[in-house]
Amino acid sequence: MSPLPTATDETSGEQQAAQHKQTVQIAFNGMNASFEYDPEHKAEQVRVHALDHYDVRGPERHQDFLFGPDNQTEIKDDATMASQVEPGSQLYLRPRTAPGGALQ
Amino acid sequence: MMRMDQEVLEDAFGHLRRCGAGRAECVLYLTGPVVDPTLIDGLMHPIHTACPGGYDVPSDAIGEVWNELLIRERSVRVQVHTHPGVAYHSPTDDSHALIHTAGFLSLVIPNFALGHVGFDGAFLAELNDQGRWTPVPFEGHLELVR
Repeated sequence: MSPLPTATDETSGEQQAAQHKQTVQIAFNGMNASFEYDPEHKAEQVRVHALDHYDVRGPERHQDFLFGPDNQTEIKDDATMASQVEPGSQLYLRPRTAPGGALQ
Repeated sequence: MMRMDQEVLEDAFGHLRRCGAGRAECVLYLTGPVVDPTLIDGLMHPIHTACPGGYDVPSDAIGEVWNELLIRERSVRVQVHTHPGVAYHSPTDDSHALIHTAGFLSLVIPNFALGHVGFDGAFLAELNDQGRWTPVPFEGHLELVR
């Protein structure tokens, strides 16, 4: 049985996590903000953080995805940020497509 | 309430008529400065596909819109599209808006925008706090200014 973590262990872990944090810029509808992330976390966490930050609401909010610096390559939700994004990158939060119309 | 330049509405009708040519729907986005959420003083006409009963703005075109908005520090306030006949919100209009933030407006213009420049017969919907579209009157939501 492994010992319970001590307060010192936890503090040390938090400090280590903070040291490893990176940032990206995420643009949405003309606005741009900086987001901190843990490189080993899945990209979905950053996307949800951005959706909340920009107050994107409702059942359709998960139609907005993260796109990379070329604004064409989609950042995969289920892969880590480290595997897809360079720290400091400019990302974009937007829908993949926007159809509409009378008979659609 | 959004304030919209009359010239922007006239410009919008021009785009909708020329692009759709009375045969296909058309879509455009009304924009304003990020720093003034109630002002509409410009528009963007994205690359899109269209047919008599619908349109689609593909991913690369949305990417271009997003780039332009970021560079110019502007936001889309209203999405506008035409219908061949009566104006209303279809299920696709409800579920595939460009923006999903409260207060975003969707304006549907009837008859491929071939009628008078204005809101006669047009349909206006607003995205509410729960992220649902609600039909709203023009008065109190979208005012034309000269």
